[in-house]
Amino acid sequence: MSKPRSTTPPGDPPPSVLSLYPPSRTTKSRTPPPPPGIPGRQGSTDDFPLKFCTVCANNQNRSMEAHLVLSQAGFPVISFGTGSAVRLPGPSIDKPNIYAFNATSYDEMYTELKARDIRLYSANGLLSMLDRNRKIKKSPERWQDWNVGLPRVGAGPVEKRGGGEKTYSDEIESGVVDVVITCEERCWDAVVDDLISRGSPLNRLVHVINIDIKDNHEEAAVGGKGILELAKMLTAAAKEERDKAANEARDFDRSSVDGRVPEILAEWQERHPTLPVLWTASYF
Amino acid sequence: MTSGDVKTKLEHLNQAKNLALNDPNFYPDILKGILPVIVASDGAIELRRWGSDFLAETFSSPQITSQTKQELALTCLEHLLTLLNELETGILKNVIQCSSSIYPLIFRYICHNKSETAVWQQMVAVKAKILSMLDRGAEGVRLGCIKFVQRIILVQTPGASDPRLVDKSEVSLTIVPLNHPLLNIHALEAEAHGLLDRLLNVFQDGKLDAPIIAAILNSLPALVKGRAAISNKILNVLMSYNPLPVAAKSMVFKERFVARSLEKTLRTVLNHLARASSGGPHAGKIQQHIQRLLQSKSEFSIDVPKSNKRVLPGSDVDSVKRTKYTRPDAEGEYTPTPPPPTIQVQPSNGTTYKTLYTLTGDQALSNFDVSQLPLEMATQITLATMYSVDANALESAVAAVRQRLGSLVRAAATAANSRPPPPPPPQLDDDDDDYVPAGGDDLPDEPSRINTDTVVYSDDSDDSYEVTDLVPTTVKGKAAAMELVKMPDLSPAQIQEACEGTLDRMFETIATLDKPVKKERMGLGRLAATNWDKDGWITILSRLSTRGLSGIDAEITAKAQEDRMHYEALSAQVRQKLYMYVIGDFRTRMDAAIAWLNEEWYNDRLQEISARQNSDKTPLEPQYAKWMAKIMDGIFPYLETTDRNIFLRFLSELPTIPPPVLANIRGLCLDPERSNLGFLAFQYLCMLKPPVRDDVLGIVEELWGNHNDVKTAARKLLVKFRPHVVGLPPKEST
Repeated sequence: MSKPRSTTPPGDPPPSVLSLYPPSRTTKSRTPPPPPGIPGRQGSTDDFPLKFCTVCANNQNRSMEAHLVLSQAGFPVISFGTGSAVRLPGPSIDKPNIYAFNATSYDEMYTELKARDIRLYSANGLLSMLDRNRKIKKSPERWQDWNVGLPRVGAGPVEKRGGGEKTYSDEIESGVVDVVITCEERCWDAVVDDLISRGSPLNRLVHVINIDIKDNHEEAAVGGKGILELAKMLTAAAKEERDKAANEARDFDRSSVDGRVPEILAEWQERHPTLPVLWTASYF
Repeated sequence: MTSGDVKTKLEHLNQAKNLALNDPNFYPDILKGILPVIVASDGAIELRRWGSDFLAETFSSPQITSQTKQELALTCLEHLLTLLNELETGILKNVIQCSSSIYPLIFRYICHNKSETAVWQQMVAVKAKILSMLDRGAEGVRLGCIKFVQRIILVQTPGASDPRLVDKSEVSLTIVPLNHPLLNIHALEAEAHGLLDRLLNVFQDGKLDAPIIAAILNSLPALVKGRAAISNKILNVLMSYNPLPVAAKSMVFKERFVARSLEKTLRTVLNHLARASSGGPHAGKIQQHIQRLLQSKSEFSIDVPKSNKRVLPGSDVDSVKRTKYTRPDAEGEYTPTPPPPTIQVQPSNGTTYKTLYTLTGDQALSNFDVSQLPLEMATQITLATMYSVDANALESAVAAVRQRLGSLVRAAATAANSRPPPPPPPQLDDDDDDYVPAGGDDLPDEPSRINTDTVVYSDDSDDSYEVTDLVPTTVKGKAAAMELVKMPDLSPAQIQEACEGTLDRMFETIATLDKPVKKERMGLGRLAATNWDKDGWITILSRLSTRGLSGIDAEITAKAQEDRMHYEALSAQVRQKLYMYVIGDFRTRMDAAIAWLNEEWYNDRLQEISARQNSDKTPLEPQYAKWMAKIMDGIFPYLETTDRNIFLRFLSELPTIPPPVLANIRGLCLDPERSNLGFLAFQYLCMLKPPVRDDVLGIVEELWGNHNDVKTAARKLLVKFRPHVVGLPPKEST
């Protein structure tokens, strides 16, 4: 296994991101980072051979933070939630705001909550989170309702900015991914169980990885960075393997990124001991 | 072909693909159009890469009907076979994914088209090629192969036989018509079983090929759920699999992570199956295995430590793990459990107590000074050993020591007769087969070693007395020498203290048993204390106090008087404890009180009789009346009208009612709140205990005469039993 520094794909921001670990306490803020201007466009398949999918309970905080971070870095990524409905904190713990998956868009939630109590929802960071999300994709999606393999061309969100410039990166045309990253063990259970229930009609391999992230804005930011690092490591390994196959393709290429996933995860875990990781190989 | 050409071609292909993505109806045409381009072996690898990708995608697409896919599959087979000659993992992965998708389609097609030999042969060739990669391919390829094998097993085993469960779209052996010229059901099924065995093998070969195992784990549930014929076999393998022990011994971070992940995958799979078969015969067993996994997970503490601290290699936990799980090939890492010690029937020359009792041949073990151990630990070890020791082993060990002693005594006898030192005692050979150690590596198998070493223990520690010193020169004196030193008698105070402690423990035991058990009434056939339940203890205690201890008490009291010390009789102690016990909760312990007081009464009687028979014996102080009154005094303040049943039963089951008790009941009658209870008791005694009737009526008469507020109640009784007192004509006696 090569050293992490060499696995950083070319063209990426310098590994200053990595040097943020652990993040210093003073930089933590109550609200998620300000929504980006225009996220990076999705890179070419040559540079990003692996497609990712991030999953959390509500498809709001952790999976969307990771979605944003990955798409900004150019990774093909989509995201889902495994809960039965989208639950957002309300005025009190027993009065959450509940929305249906796939139905209410981030934009509608944003408008509604803003009208209801702008002070409360600004203070708890909900509004800035929804504002970020509505610039990434249209609405929260439920994992269990995902028709895997259905092309996702143009299935994305609204185009808000002028000039037809896309403000998000939510296109995985083929509708399948290579790596699913969940943000909570419960979600990992749901995903793995759901994959078994579906009976894997596509016969396509998928790595399901869990990274335990606490459901708050600060931890989501830390987790998002961790996920980005992992995506980079996996992608670098995949490219390495593919190039090896291309260059020396006169013999069996004895390794592949699939076989190296556990190794890469273990290496990643050693660097992120506070984000317990779990993994399995399943099929769509 | 220049790279520029390739680039433009790829661009065109991508455009075509976008068309298909937007409208799946284009798939067939596009696929047919591009097939020749993408598989051309002289073409650029980029094109083949792209082509394989597109093929895999096409046959996976949920937007294309299986009918269309089947038609497409027929045109693709040949090209798939060509592409399988590629060497690049990525391409192979795609082709195998594609083959997994079309295998059921082709199979179904062949079922209905018996003459399509060529198609089937192509499919068989594809299958053979892929199966050949199952073990040899690159990891990514093998993962694809596993999925392909799962598809084959699904197709080549019989599906659900219940017509209600049959899924029309499902492809299985069930749809193969009999006497099909190409598809031999038995051969196909045998092949499927063989492949399943190959998959299941990974759980037994002990390797930790993580992606392979994870992929197989995730592939098996479909087989368990859909194929009844093989589900038992798979479940049995799953339920005996535990990835933790293999990896947990490793300190390699990756292996621990892998083991954790595999264990979690296995548990998720089992949970899924348990839910799917809830109510089925296996659900319970599956749950049990899940529990076992959870337990071993906590045992191995394989979870990621929440802090950055790492477990020190060689910490206690790990060494335990290693001892348990290291296989022989890693023997260097741990100390093997020593084989059972060899018994040296005859100790070596220097005969000391130590050598006399030393049964092991292990030098290190026999030199160990047990007295270094804290007493508590030594006790624990001894107890644990006594519980677990094999009876046969113990017996033969004892026999060995006995034999040694016997020969020692004989030797001593000869020594006494002829002064010259005894010849070395006869070598009694190891005839205890039990004790042949199972190939002790470095332990002396041969008893001769120690013997020839002539190890003399006499000077190495002070606990090695020469036994010969202790063995008297005459055989006759032997018994005397072997007698144990007599312990000094306990002083009365010590006895009292010990008794106190014992009693406390007994009552503690009773308290833990203090749950009323419904038991059948045995009547007179009942034995006093047949089992160690609460009643049994009470019987023992009351008989101890009345009979068992009286003789001892007399002895010790005499001694205490000699020493001018205060001594409270043991029996009195027991009685006091019993009394406290009853008073502690008289409502539930009334049974105990009744049993005890009856014993007292009976004993008083016996004492009386024996005193009458031999006049020189002084009868012991009668106890019944004393304790009866004491108990009554104890409970009277707490009696309530609701205790009527208990109280009346108590009175009825006692042999006699001493006068002080009657006075107590009189007190009850005068208590306005409990007056009823008092009169009820009196009435009961009058009716059912004739010996006390006169006394009772005397009291009632007195009440009637002196206390106006109870006059009516008293009068009622008198009317019935002494009508003349209240001025009525005497009745016929009741």
